[in-house]
Amino acid sequence: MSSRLALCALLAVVGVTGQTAFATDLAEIKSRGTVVIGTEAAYAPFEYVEDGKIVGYDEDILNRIVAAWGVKLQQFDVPFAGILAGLDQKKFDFVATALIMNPDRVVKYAFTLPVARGDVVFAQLKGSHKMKGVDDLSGLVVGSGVPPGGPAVVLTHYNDKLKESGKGASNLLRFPSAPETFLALSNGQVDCVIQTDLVVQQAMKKQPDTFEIVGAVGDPFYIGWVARGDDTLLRDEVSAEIRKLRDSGELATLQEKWFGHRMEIPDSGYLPPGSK
Amino acid sequence: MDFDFSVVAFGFPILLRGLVNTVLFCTISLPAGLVLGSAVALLRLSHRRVARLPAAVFVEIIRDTPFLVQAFLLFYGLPAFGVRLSAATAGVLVLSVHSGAYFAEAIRGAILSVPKGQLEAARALGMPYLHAMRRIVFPQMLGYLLPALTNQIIGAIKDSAVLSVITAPELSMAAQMVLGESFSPVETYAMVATIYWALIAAVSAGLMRLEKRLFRSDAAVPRPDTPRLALSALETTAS
Amino acid sequence: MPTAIKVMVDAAPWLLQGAVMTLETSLLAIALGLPVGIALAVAQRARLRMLRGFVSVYISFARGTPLFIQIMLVFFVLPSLGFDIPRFCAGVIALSLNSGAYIAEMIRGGLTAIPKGQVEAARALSMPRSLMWRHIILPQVLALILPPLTVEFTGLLKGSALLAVIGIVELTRTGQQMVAATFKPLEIWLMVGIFYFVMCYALAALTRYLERTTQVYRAV
Repeated sequence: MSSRLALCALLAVVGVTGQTAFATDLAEIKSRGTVVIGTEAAYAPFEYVEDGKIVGYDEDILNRIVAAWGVKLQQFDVPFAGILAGLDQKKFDFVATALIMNPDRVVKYAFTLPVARGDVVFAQLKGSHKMKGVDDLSGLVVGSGVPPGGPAVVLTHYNDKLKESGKGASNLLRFPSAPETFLALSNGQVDCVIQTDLVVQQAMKKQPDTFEIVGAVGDPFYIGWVARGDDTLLRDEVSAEIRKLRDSGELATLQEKWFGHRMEIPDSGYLPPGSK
Repeated sequence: MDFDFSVVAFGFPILLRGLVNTVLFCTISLPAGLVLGSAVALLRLSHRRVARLPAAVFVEIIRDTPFLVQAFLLFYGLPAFGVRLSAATAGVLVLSVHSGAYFAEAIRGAILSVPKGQLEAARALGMPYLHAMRRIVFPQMLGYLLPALTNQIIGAIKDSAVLSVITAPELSMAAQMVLGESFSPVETYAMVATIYWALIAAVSAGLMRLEKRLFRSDAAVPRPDTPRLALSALETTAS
Repeated sequence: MPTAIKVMVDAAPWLLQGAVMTLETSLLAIALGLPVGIALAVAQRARLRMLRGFVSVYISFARGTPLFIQIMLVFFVLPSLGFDIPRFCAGVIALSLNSGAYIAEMIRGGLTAIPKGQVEAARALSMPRSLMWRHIILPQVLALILPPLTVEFTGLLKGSALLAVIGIVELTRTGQQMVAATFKPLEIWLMVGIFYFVMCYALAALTRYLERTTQVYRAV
């Protein structure tokens, strides 16, 4: 009896949660004097923690934007399980963390202009011949991150497609984060992993001569930041800053610094139809 | 408010499949933990220090370190020594060991609650120690053990969520998958909370029925009327 | 092997900062959880049926749902009711509320060990109930339940790891950050385990010391 009452209490409480978020925009942020950002600082080289500070490609861009706006930065490191919930509940103005623009996300959140472009690739141990090509996963144990990580979602859909022609993987293992996937690969617990090529590069830097890329899957994708779905004005203002950095060449310099190569950032056409 | 029921329609079956795995993990690990816990409890009660000390150290280490770290080291660390376990095997193993350490304390408390005279009389009659334990002490200890055990079992069910870290496809991993595809934290977490609550309520109710049956007036198991001993009932595992 | 040690030693200062946050949140939660537990235990014996019902539902919820969800509830849902709380406070409150429910159950069990005669004697002397609770019942009960309290306290220390989800960077989250930066999960998590062990063992030892020094209060 008390369990049923408690269940009703839970549902009532849940019912109270969804508030219509009123939009934030730059004017409000400037009048406040501080911008509140959520970041998942556990994704090298985009954002990670070194010597107690958040550093990385996204962080460099963010610092330039914050300087251009003339506001103070208040940044929180939040794991993925809580970052979108935090954004929805207006605990941050927007989220500055590397997010792949996949079809499920773009209809819910407003993506900024891309900050990076990459491929989803398969990687395996160097010299291992377990994976012959990206179009055949049969008999392989594939490791990935957990959804909603971009490559993880790509893997799910890709594997479903391959299963139709009998080339599906023998098992898909979901690891809590990228370093664990590479540890499992080194340990032989998985035959190959699926990750963003930029992250694979990072792993190859940390463990030279251990991994090799087998090949890319699907079209290249774009990585950007997100604001709440309703905050399209704020999103446009952030995108404007990113565009300025791109046009001035500073973005390319940062890309060389963190990724070792430059990327083409388009002005439009990077979002699928139906996006915010 | 707009509670998106389509998320429930989409996510619930996935969560249920995760629930099945959670239940499977627990049904295998918890009895194994009980066996391990009984062994460790007996070791801790031994007269010989060489048996007591390792058991005490084992319990202390397991109880004072996070389950996350234990699962992690077992799954990702063993391959360095050539042992490669599947997520399921590693999960069962570490959950058994972890709950075993907590059960050991509950069992030890329950055994200590049985009046010493019982064991002494049995030994005086020439009964071997283990035989006396099994036939005389154990049935009497059950009455003291069950309340304590209920708490531990509930704790272990919630702890099993940690196994998602070693890729085990149980309920909390299923929750992450649903969250990852739907991007609806409110709906997802509401479903998850409800499912865990229902599961734990069911298990508690089942254990309470078991308690009542054991304490039927014609049953051989005494009711723990000595109040102090009901206290060992209240040891809980983390969160 | 030496590289592994080096990774662990390099990580130590940062993990220590995380450990300090863990201690701050857990110790505060312990300090707040005790009064919450006592209040709930007293309320459980109230004459008002609705109060008893509320407490029973509350305890069932706190023990039956994962702590992770309770933390998110306090941080994300309470604001809709008008309380916008900073994350540190929300985290400590969530931990205290959870802990309080468990402590209330322990107190309930402990109360059965207090001989009824003491309550009757207090009543016979016209002692006000609050005085009876404060000077007679609670000291004995709290001393009695020290063993399960140890488990609850170490549980809080470890459970504070879940506060990461609302942006509190404690020991476990610091560990995750370091893993992402170094790509060395094993060494980092081993070091994290060592830190937790030291903290929990110290807390457990402290509670065991308290157990010994409060022997005089035990009715049994």
